[in-house]
Amino acid sequence: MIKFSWEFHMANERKYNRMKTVIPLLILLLCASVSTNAQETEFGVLNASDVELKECEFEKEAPAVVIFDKGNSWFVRDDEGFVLRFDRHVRIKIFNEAAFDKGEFEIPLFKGDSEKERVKDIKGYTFNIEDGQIRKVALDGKNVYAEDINKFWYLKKFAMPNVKEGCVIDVCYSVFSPFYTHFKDWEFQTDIPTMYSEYKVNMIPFYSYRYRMQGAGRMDHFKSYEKKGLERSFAGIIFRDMVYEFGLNNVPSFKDESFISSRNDYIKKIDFQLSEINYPSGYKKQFMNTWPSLANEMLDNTDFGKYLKKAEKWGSKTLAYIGDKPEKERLNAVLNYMKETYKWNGYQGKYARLPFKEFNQQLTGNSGNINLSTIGALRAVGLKASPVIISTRDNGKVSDSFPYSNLFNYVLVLVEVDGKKSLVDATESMCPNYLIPSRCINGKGFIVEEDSEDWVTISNSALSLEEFNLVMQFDLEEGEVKGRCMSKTTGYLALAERSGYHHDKEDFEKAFTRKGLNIIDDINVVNLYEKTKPFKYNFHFTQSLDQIDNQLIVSPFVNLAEKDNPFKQEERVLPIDMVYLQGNRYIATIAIPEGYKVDELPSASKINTDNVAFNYIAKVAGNHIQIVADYSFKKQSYPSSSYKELKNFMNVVTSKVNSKIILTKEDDVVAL
Amino acid sequence: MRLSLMLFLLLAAMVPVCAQLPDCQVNRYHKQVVFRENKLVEFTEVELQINSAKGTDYAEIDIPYTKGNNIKKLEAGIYDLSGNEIRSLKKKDIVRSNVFSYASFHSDDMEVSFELIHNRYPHIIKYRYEQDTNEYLYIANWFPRRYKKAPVKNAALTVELPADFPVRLIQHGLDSAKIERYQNKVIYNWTAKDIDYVERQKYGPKLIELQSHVVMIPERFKYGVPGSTKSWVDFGQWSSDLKQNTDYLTDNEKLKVEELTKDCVSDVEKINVLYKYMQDNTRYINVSLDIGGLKPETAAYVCRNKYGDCKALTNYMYTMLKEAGVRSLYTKVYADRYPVPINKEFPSQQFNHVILCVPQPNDTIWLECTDNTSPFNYLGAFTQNRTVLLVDGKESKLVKTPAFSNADVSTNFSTNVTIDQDGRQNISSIAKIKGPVFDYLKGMNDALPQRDKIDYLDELELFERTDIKEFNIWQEHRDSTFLTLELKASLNNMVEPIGSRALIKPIRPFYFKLEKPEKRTQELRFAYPFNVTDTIRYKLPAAIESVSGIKSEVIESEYGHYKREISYKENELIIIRHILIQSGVYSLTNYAGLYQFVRSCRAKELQKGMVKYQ
Repeated sequence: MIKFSWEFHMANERKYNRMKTVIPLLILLLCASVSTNAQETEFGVLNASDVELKECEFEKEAPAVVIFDKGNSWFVRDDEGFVLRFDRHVRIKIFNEAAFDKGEFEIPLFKGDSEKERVKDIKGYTFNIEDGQIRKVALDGKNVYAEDINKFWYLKKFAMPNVKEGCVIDVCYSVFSPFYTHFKDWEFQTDIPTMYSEYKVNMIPFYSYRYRMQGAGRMDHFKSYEKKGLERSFAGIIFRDMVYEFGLNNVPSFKDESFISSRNDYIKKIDFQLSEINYPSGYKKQFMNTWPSLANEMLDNTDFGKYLKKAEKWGSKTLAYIGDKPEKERLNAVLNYMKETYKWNGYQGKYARLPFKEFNQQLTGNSGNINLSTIGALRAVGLKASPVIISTRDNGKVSDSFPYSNLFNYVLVLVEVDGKKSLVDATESMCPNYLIPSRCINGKGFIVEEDSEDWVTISNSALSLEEFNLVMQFDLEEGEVKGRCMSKTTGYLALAERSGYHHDKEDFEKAFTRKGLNIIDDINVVNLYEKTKPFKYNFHFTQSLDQIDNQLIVSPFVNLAEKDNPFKQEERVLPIDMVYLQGNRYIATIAIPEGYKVDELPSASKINTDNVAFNYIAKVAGNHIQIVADYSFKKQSYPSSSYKELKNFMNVVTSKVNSKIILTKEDDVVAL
Repeated sequence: MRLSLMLFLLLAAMVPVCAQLPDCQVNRYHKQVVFRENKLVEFTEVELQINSAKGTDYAEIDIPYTKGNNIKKLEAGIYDLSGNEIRSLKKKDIVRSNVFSYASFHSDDMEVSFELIHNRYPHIIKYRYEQDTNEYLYIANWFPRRYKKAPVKNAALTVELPADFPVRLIQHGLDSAKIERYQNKVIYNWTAKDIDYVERQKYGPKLIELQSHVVMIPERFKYGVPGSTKSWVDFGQWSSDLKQNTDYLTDNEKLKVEELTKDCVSDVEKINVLYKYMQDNTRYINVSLDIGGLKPETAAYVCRNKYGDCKALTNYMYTMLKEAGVRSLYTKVYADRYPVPINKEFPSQQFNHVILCVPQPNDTIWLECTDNTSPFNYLGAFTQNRTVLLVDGKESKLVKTPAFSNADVSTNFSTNVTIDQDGRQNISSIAKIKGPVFDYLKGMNDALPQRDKIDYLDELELFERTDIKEFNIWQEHRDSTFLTLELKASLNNMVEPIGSRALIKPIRPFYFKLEKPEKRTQELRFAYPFNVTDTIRYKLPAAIESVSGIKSEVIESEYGHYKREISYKENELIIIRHILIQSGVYSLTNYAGLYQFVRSCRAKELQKGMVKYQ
């Protein structure tokens, strides 16, 4: 699925001609077919078709369907100016019990330092057919609850009464928001199918927004018109609202698939970004219309550009002693210092959430605090460093055609060492300095420098490798395999293993016990905190030996190799995102016990395509069997058309790496 | 040889990781409980020593409380080992929020959170706070060891009571309290050093039973209404009083009850009709506020909303039955597949769920009112075979729910495995399922969207190493206590061709691992029996010459029974298995025998077979 987007300014053209509005021809073409939604959508009044609906026509198995979901954002006057009002009216038909949870609603609301979003007029009805008649039960306002989530969010929640199979739920509410920079976005798609989804926005001359569509090639419904009725006025300016309507029919449910970057990249939605405030006085305040202006505004911001300066000042006092070292050592010294001193609190953010002084007292902060401070520190020791704002994997992709700062949720460090630029991060103490956490590997990032229009691709060409090297022999009397396992991992796989061991040594051991290995000594670990080196460990183990009569059945990789194909789905819609290049290698050396002969040895196998590679060799050398298996993914991400190949590939790999060897007592072989 | 050289290098580079300080230790955990102006006031003081960067995870602190019993006078700070303050917690850095829970839709469980991070180790974090309450069921409910990985050096509990204040007490794993008596007060003092964390052994007592603890409850109390814990009758009386005046229906609903039951010829039929009406028209939504944790919403609330939690729905069913002239009893139970047994000597709130008991002349009918797919008069693994409290004013008493018999849990599989010429393996199975697995599966058809069902089946691990292609689940009728599962799947490598032979790996082996007798320190509880039969027919690609590894066998024991039969003809191999393990509580003296039996069953179940083709 390709993300489709466009942009234009929305404002009232007639009354406010100082602002030139460009509507690309593209839009007019796309919206050439303008359908109107004939259905009546009065709150609390059902249509005959709502009652008769027995299944979702375009998704027969769906347990429920959104009959319509309508949003309307507009500006209402308050004492000081305008507040944003968002009205929502949603009607859902529930076909069976599997969707009873659709009768539970949560409205997340944002709170700032002094103001917060408020929800008003929550109303709801549940309709059921009882004894041939429609029975309507209202939501009791007493059963609406408020909950605090954290410093920034709270929510209102309620469960609709009388939710039964075949019922229709009708809910509406209004959210009042003083945060005009957070114009409500709209998702046309949810985890049940939607028959009609419409978002109406009413623009006034004082605010201009840009919007971005994702996932929908065309709108089924699009209208723009000047609002009828009385003219409005503010500060002596007479105006009418400019109305834009966006609607989609028959939107399928969204289903998450494994190995995707983020739901946010694929769901059908429309996002809004404030681009201008046009004050009645004639003054116009731009909000990030271009990349250079976005960069410059961020550099002026207290929690970004000005924060960098404070951090640099602090750095030149605190880290002066590093300044004389070679550049590479300086970089490592600063990153190590940051990682050892400050603890990431788990919050992402491109801005520093705490003022530098407080951060430096509390020694913990969000990613903005840590990485912006790192940039300051690097500059203080004479390195060239700049912030790069990115969107993390769970937040979705960004595109260079949309200078929307709110699409970015994280900041990385671009640093130049010995003339070479690289991206670094200081939030994860277990992460080696040459890697950035895998959550950050997502497309590209914008370099925030004065007048910048530059981007940097976030990728990692280094292969993350896992290797197991096993040396085994048999204790026939005990009925055991005795062996030694040596493991080596690099890159992101090393990061995962290292963190796993660091976090919980016992759990780390248990992972082997669960695979049937009995560890007889302690796991010896090498390079646990030498993060730039491969992570290695080894241990001695025993495992029960499969003996059937005079045959020994041997799993050369003692259950360590991947057993099941990770590609479970039959069909695939979304691209497959592997995040980083990875490879696995298994080596086994098995001593053939005296008097035994190799009866069955798996044949060699080789696959090599542009996408993947696999190599498997088993051979007898003297009184040992040697087996080497290697497989790797050559790309970080694959189109969905490659899914079949990947699935087949892993079928071959899992079957081969789990193949058995049979050793038979020599007498028996002769007897055959 | 290159390999051995590498080995040598590895050994040379090895640095053993030696034992060291824990990342975090609790130096002090003190609680003090006193009465002040009719309020129960609890003071808590904690001192943590953070020894490493990893230990700072413990410096992110959450203190749970219930709305109304606010955390007061919270003070916290970071100190060095000599006691000098490094930094103290600022008020604005304290966050209060609702606790997220899967168990309830909304509740007034809150938490206070803050973090105190420092980067020189070791350092000390101290915090203290107060809580007070007017109404309480517990005077103390003290578990000094709180984290598995953070050892506790010193802990103490002090309870100061008026001299004439009768209490009841349970303690476990700790020395008895030192008691000081004065003219007008009594002071209990527990102290403990280096308190162990006790791991739960397989099928052993629950963690909450195993950790050291002190539980002190008042003999007379007021929680919603006044009550007493002197006897189960008293406690049952309090439970009755608490739910008084909740048993009324709306007028509409009264008419509905009358209409539904007017043609019923017996009480059983009335109960059945009303139970199904309730199942078909309500859903489970748990809103737990104030004493709502224990007091049911009124039946009228359920009439209006058609939802409620276990208490509300049970009370609603109770009220409908009352309207229809049938007497029933609100019944408190500890619901879990492996429950904490009720301590009969200690009448108190030891329950977490509510069901309904309907006494009938010949037999008692039990109703689970929180499960829309439960058969009529069926208690599943979550409530069977345990002591429950019938709440009935002065007649309140403890009784036992019916136990699953061997037949009640029997599950029979009939399975075909085919291997075609290309080596593709397919399995088809028909199973008649009862007992705990029935409990999990019966609701699945209705409760899950189609696309999530296979994932759910996969998670149950009924069929390992398969890719389910199609399946079908059905019940003869809604009150049937078994269901039939039919399933077709491809099988991953369970028959592994090796040259002219094939390795037969066990399909769905039934086994579990228990600690060796010398390591076992806890009794073992099988809350219900295990009873599985499986007939597997393999259609192999060539005629069989011989089968080795697996043989026909029988193991008989007082703990159960194991039987396997093997036969083959041309290219068909048939394996029939039957495992029965009796339910019961096994003390340490019986453990060795049980262990032997379970171990031999496991060895048989995991035995692989080798087929030699002609």
